[in-house]
Amino acid sequence: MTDHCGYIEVIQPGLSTSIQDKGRLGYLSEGIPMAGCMDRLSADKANLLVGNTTDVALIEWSILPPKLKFLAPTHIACTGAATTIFVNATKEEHARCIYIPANTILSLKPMKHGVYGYIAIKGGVQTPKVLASRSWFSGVTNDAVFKKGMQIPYFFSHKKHELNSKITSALSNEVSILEVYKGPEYDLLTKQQQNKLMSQKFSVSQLRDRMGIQLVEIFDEHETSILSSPILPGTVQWIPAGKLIVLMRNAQTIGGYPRILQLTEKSISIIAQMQHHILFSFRVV
Amino acid sequence: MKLKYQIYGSQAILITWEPRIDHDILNDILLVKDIILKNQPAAIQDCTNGYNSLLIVYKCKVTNKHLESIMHLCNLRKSNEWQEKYTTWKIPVCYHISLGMDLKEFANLKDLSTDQVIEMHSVPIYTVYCKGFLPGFMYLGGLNERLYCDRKVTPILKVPKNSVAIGGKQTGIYPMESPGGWHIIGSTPVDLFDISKKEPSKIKIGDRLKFEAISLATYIEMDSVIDKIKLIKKID
Repeated sequence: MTDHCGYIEVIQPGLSTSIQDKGRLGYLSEGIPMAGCMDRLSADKANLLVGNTTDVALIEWSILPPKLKFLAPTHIACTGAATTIFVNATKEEHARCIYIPANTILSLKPMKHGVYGYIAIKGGVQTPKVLASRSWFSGVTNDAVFKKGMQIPYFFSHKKHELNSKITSALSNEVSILEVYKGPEYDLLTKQQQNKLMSQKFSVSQLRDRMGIQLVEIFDEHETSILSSPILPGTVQWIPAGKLIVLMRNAQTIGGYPRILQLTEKSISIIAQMQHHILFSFRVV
Repeated sequence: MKLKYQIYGSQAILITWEPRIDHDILNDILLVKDIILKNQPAAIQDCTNGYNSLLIVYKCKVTNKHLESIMHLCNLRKSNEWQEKYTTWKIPVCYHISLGMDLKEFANLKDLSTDQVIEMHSVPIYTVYCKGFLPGFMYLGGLNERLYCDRKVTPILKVPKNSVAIGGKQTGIYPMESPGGWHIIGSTPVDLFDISKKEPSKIKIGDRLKFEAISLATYIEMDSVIDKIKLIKKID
C-alpha cells in the first residue's frame, strides 16, 4: 500500500457491480469484447462531477446497488439509475459532487427508474489495468463482479473543495425514439420489412445483461444466416425465430445473425437504461 | 475478387468478400488488413476479421472520404504480391476418456471407433480463420467431413478450460471454462491464451495447426509445467 492509496471496502456487493471505463480497445482480433460502461453518458457525467476526465474507471452497479465503506477521504458522485443516497446517516443528492470523509459508509437505496448506476471517485478507481483497460470482464480480469469484503483502491484527496457540480443531463427517462444507422445486412430486408421495422413499436425484455438486450416484440421470422462476421456494441441482430437482440458492451466479437441496424452511441446509453414499460421505435439518422 | 464496402455505425468500415470459407479469401483479407494498417496506422483503433469480412474501427467518425480511401487502397492491391507467411503449430491433445468426456458417445453417434475419431481429428492441418466467441477462441477450418456433427441438444454449463471439441462443421479449443454445446473429445495441457502476456495468444489468424495425440501420462507431465504457453511448438 502506498501512502496515497485509499480503499473502498465492499460491505454489500449489490447485484452485478463492477469496475468499468471506456472499454478495452484494440483486441477484437483476439476475440476480446470491448466491455466498458453500459451507459456512457451517465458515467461521463459522474466523472466530470468530481473533476475527472471521462476516461477513468468508476463503479457500475445494476438494479441492486452496493453498500461501500470509504477508508480514506475523497469526493464522489452518483449518477445513472436514480437512488436515495446516504453518506453515513446523511441524505445526499443524486448527480452532485459529495465530499466523503475517512471511514464513511455509502449506502444507496434504489428507486424505480434506471437500470445502471455509477459511482465516480475523484482521481478514478485504481484497480489494475489489463490490456490497457480497467473494465472487468470474466476471463480477462481477475474479478468479474464485486464480492463482499473486496478492497477497491483509489487515490485519496484531503482537500475539501467545491467542484463544478451542475451538469444537466441530456437524457430524459421517457425517450421513445432510438436513433440508428442501417446495419450491414439491412438490405436483406424486403421493402415491406424495412417499413415495418421503422414503424413497429418495441420494448426491452427481462432477458438483458451486459452482453445484450432481447426485445419483447417478434419482428419477422427468417432463415438467413451469414458467415460469422465481426459485430459491435449497439448492433441489432435479427434472430431466425423473429426476435431482435441489441448487442451491448460485453457482446461477443463475432456473430452469424444478420446485423440489420446499428444504434448510435447515444442510443446505446439510452437503451441500457430503458424501462420495460417504454415502447420505442427506431429512426434511421 | 469483388468486395463490398459499407460504413458500419459511426466509426467503422466493413469490407465483405464472397460468402465462402476459403484459403484464397483468408489470404486476401490478410493482405487488405496489412495494407490498411500500414497506410493508416494512427487513425485506426481496431481491426478484426470474420471468415469473409474485415472490420476497421476508427478512432474518429467515419465519412465517405474514409470509405473512398479504403476502396482506393484495396483496388491498388495485387494478390500475387502477397507473401503468405504463417506458422504451423503443434498442439498436444490427450483424447483419454477421462478428459474427452463425450468421445465414446461421439464415436458411437458417428459409427466410428474412438481410435478412428482420434486419427481423423489429429491428421489434418487446420487453418485459423478468425477469433471470437470467447477471448482467444479460434475458428478453425479443415475438419474431416466424417466428423461433422450437430451440437448437443442441451449445452452444458461448464465446459472445462482447454477442452477440445467438435460442433457442427467445426472443431475448436475452449480457452477458458464456458457454457457450450460442442462434443468434448479431449483436452490440451497447453495454454492458448495468457492474459498476463502483451500478446495473449501466440497463434495468429492465418496460422495453421495440427493436433498431436498424447498419452495421459504425457498430459499429466505437461500439465505440471508452469508456463504452458511455451508448450506450443512450431512445426518446420
